[in-house]
Amino acid sequence: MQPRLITTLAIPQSGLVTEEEIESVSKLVRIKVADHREHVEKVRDMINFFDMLDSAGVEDDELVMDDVPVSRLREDAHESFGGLSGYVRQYRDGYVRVPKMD
Amino acid sequence: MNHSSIIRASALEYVRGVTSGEFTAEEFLSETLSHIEEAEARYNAYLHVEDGQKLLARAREIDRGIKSGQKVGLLAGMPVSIKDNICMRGSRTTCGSRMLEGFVAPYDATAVSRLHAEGGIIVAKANMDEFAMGLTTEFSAYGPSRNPWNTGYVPGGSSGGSAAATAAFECVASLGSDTGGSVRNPASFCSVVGYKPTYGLVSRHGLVSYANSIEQIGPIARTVSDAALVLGVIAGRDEHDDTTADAAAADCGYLEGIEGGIEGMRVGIVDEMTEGADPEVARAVERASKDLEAAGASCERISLDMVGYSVPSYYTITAAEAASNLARYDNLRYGYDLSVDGYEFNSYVAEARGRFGPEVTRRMILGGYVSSAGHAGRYYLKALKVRAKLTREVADAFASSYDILMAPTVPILPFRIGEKSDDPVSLFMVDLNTVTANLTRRPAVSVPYAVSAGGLPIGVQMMADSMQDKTLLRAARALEKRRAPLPEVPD
Amino acid sequence: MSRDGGSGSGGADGTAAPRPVIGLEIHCQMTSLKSKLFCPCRADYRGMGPNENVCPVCMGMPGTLPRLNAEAVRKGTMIAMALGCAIPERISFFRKNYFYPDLPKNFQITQLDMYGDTCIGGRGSILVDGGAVGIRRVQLEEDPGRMIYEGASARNRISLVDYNRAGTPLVEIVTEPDFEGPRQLRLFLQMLSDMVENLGVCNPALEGAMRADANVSLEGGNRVEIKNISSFHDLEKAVVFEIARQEAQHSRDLEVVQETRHWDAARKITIPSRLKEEEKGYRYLLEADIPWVRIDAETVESLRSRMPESVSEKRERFVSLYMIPPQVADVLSSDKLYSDLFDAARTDRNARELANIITTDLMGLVMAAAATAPAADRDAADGGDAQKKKRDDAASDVISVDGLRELADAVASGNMARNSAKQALHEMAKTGKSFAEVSSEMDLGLVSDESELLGVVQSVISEEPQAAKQASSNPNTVNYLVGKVMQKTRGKADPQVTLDLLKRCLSEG
Repeated sequence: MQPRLITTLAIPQSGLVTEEEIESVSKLVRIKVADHREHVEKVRDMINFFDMLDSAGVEDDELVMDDVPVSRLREDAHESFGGLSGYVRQYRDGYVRVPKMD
Repeated sequence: MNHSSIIRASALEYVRGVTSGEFTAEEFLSETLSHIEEAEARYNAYLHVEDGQKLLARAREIDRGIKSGQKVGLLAGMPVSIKDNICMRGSRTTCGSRMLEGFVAPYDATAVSRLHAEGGIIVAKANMDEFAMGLTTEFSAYGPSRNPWNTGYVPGGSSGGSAAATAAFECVASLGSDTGGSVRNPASFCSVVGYKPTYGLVSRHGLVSYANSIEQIGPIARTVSDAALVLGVIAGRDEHDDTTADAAAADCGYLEGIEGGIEGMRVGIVDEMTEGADPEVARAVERASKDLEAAGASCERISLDMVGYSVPSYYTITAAEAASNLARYDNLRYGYDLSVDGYEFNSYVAEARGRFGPEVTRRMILGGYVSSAGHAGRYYLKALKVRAKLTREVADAFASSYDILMAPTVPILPFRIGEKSDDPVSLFMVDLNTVTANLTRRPAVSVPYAVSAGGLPIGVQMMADSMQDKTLLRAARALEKRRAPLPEVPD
Repeated sequence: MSRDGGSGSGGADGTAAPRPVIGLEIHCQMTSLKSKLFCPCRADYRGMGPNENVCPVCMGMPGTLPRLNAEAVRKGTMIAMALGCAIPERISFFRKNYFYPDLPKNFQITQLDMYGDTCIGGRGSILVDGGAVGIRRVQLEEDPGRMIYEGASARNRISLVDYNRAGTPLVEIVTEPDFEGPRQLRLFLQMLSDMVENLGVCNPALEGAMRADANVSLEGGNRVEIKNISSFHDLEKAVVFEIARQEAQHSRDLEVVQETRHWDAARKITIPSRLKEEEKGYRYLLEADIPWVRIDAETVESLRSRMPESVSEKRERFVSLYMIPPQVADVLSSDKLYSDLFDAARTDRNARELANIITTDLMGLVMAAAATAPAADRDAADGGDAQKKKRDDAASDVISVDGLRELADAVASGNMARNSAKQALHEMAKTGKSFAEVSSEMDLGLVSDESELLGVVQSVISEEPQAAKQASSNPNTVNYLVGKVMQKTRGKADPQVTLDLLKRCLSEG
């Protein structure tokens, strides 16, 4: 059975998100996507759902953030972790090898 | 207690039993390990069980300690499990992802070292939705976990492995993580207690981040008191996590005063979280409010307008943070085997990250979109503002009228595996009742309350004001005490 | 204010080119801290093997959280104050998201003024060469790791990363485009370099500890960013080149293209950056793992009291308190090594002589010693600035604070002539002996014994009958005779005793 809530919060289908946009964002977050169409519809649905935020009336609201005094922070002292060999992939002399930059 | 049923002990019963010599830690652990072997074929609650011989040696050490009158810690050799996004030195931590298939953690999470320090024995790493994104455990790259109440059903998620394992006696208690309900939702679906602490009460050091501004590690246990015991072990200021609260605020004695009852407390039942709920679920909450009134609380309905915007705000923030938190998985420093030869940097990283499952991929694309230069103002910033306004609304409710806010943990009953996994937006709504506590950083708990006509668990959620974790546990315990007896989980 | 270098070349049509507009972004490593910005690994990674100075936090391992260094916040605030910035009530951190192999988390934790002014400093201003240079903001951020390339040809080239530097605390100083020419630029950088050293934040002599990018445009024209400048020396050259290049474009009525250019140190020119303009999509996010930090009035006050005096304050003190001539005070105050030495060895009585000894003799000696010292192995890769580091080491070899004090005391109290002090200093530097040893061995002390001086005085009188005659009526002539005695004793005669003795001998006839 479908809870009533889901229907009351039904989302506007503006469909403004384009396939190209989604493709360019997936490049931005560096994920190879075999078939963009697989994601386009779902991502579009999700983003359309987020458009609900427009009606929340929070334009003038301010962000509230917790804060701490400087004295709560870590004091400056050296401590050696003792290396990460065995946990980090190392190539030669301890360097990490990476693909060449274009 | 007979031999086959000792592992059904609650945490408090375990501690009493093992320290009074009723059974040994080794016996209990050994029973648990053989039960795990048999149960795992049905539930797939664990991704990785630790080496039994090493664990048993540790249990024997505890037994010797008990015999010779030494301190063995609050947990005294209790078998516990942890969600696979919590790091344990030298142990695999995959986060339910093939991306981290080969990753072995070089350090202990603070929660892990505190469990160890109090004599806890971590037996296994529990299954989860990949990187904790999901609420069914179906998005685990290593197959879904199953609900011990009905193996055709999802156990909830993302800490589904932890909840299933606790319900099925594969551990006495477990640690999950709760970003938007990931401890409470599976606890509700599996009829166990799931506790999401005030943000900053428990260190996140060693918890692999998904949405770091709102998530917490939380205990899953079979009773409210058990959850309180474990919470006391893992809570408190940690120098490795600048967002943890000061020691004074994070008082450790969560069991203390837990039997104090609910008399005189004011309970608000949130309209927005009950209106659209499944009728069986709604009725359960109604009965729960009667129970609480009978115990001396006053209950009334309350409306929180901003709750209606909580889910889009929650998904926007979590997607944006996830895209950033998961950016480090480029497979260069650790990860799985994929040679860099012949690749250019960007193409290698994109190729390597092709291993993320579809849900994680989708949320990262979503996160990239809502935080990109052209869209951040409309989505990410607005979501932060909704969070701020919701927080104010909730803070006002606590300040002016209520000690506890109550609602169903999940508006619907557990559903079948595969039933909803293809419809992300309808899954979003399953989170409606749980995300508010995360966005507002308030503590919340799911207490098992009833079982539906179809034999599926129903949990009730209670939420309290910031740092009022003791009040919340007391109220949850009062509900647990008053509720009608629950059936045993089917074998 | 003067302007030089690169300015003034007229256009082809005879009109002057528009004036150049220059702004800077300076990255200064906080090398004097003991640990990184967000973890307890060393802030100064130099001399360590690849990936030895790392831990799960700075390697961006799953589950790790940044632990902000309190001292970095304090020192950053001090720099901001010294640059005349407003200090915000609260600071916050942001993530700058982009993928790069030297960035372990694929985001950099930095500061922004996105939700209010929450960088560690902003809206400052500082006088340089008579003109005000605006400081847009001062921010704390983490340094990335270092990329190393192996292999001869581009085809088989291998890229390696050493993450020892990743997470090193940086303070970034962004100026307004207020510089009017390379001279002001040079003076500003020197001042800044002195300032961060003086504040105990950074040793600018360490290679790569201070780096700068420049924005250059001609008024009304497009802006060009110049990157890849490895030293302040090159920065000036790059800016001079770039101004000339833009002026040449302008004179030919060609528009300057808005772009990023790299400084080619070998060819001494700027060239268009080959790399594609990195997508501007940094997707800045609040860094929720670091709470906002309150910089309350009390903190600001206590930091202010901890702040060492600035170079100009120091100069003022030297002149007004110790009567040191302004030119000497200029030299002494602008160099932390020597002004520290001065303050350590100074007494109310010896200050003037001490300043004199340091500026006329010691500086030369130290320079010579540094030139012959072998390069310290930690800094085998010598930058132009590495000289300064060697010099600091050389200074402590040349003389101790105690030795310097004893030497200045001796001159100030009249027990040693300046000439002798110079010799003593050279001897101490050469042999490493103490002042007491040197002064006794070399017989550098003043001769104040009358019987010893009497013979010399008498011989001078007999050699200079003319002067001796006039001396009774003309005091200048007495001084001439004192000078002669000094010559004969090679400066060792006590002037007062000599004068008394001369007067007595002359009056006795």
